Amino acid sequence: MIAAFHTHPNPPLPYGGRRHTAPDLFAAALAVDGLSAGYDRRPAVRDISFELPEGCFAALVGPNGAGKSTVLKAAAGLLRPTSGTVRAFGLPPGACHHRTAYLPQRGDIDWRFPVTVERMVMGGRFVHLGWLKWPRRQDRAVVGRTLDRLGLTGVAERPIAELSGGQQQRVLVARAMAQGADLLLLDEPFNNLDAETRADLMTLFAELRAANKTLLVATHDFDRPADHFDFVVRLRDGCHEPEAVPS
Amino acid sequence: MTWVLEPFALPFMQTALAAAVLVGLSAALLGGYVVHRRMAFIGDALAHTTLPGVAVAYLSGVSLSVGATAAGVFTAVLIGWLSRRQALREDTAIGIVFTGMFATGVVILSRSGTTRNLTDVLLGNVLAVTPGDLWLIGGVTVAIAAALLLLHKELELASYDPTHAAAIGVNPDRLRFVLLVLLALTVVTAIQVVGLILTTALLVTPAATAALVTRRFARATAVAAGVSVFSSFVGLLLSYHLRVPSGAAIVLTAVAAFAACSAIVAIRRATSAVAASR
Repeated sequence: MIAAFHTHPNPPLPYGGRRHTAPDLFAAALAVDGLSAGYDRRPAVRDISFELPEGCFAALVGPNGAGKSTVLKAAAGLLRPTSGTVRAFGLPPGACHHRTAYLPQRGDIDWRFPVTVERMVMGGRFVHLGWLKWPRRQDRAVVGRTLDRLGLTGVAERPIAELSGGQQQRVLVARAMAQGADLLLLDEPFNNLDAETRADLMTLFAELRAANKTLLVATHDFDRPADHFDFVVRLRDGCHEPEAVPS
Repeated sequence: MTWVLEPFALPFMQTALAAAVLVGLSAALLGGYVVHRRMAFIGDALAHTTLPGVAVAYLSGVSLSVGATAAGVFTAVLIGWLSRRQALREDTAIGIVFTGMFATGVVILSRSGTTRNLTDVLLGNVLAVTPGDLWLIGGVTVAIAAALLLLHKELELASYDPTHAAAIGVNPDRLRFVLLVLLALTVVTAIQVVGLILTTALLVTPAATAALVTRRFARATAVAAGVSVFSSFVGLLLSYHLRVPSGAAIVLTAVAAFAACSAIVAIRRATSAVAASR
């Protein structure tokens, strides 16, 4: 079954019971078309459209409550759109879980829970394992390489409770990389980080982009986001004014 | 040595020890989740809400365990459903369901004209556990160990990062529901050992003791299981020799273990701080 994952064109998804669908090679990494979504039938965003090509480093900017998280959650399949469509690599969210990673706001995670950094990063492999399967040697190898690449090997055995904000964010990125995600949706990664840590994180994101990963970062931490990102989606009160900026 | 071994030569003490150890194990296995997901209040509520089930079972001559299980699982479902909708704050919903069910139980029992069984239900009577009960308790322990082992990676992930769990297709609400049902089953068996008032202690105290010693979930679970088994054994022994209620003796032993561990950890911290300052 495991080996079949790589050879069978349509292996079953580990979680969710559906079959894996091969991605459309020519599709955009993320295509949002006329998206409206919200909570309890109250729309948080209305009629949002934009497209991110592969390898794009994009920002979703706007004040608090503008609907940035809602767009990310809809893109990750955590929230069903009330209208419009979202496609990641040409597929609806959930049709290829492992290629999209949603990195929650750090405040959404219970960092006091007793797991080690290594164990948390291993969480990125679960989407390849599914129910009733233990991490295998190859999963541990992937996690080891990822920790090494992100300079986290020194804290691998530490409980996540002992991490600084910057380290927490790096661990979340490590998990997305261990997952093998190609589209990273990051919710406020720069929140409560000092300037130096922010700069480190920007360097890391630039490396990911160089590795042809697509990143969409919800943030309100930049005065001039166009200076830092390839593409900026500006949201205000759930609506947007797109602004394409050449890199 | 005879002081330790003599009580357990008696058949009812053997059954009691087996019951206490099995219940202690399932409570310790779940305890990590109860403590780290802050579900202690729910555990307490589940224990109290079994009362009407026990009362109805007592009056209709059905096994008390069956009544308690039915009421416990019903409450787990109700709390899971209420907190999912978030129509009410979770602790408010629990507060209403828990007291409402308990009051219903008191009314039903008062109509039966006897309070003897009420004392057993409230304070437990591990010495009254029958071999039949023991099979049920053993079954619950095995079921809980199996469920936690098989679902460990998903339960753990959904506990600290429900959003990531949901994003990869693991429904955290459903896992929470599974935990609530497992909790209900544990609580029902724990009632026979320590009574419904003290049930939370079996869930919380060994796990809290373990959390002092280690920051790893699997290790903590093993330590909690050790504390549980130790408390069951020593508690029953003290109860036998000092002629005090067994449930209270078991709980007090666990509390003493927690206090001792806290003290040791505090002293170690103090000495390492002194060593570091030199």
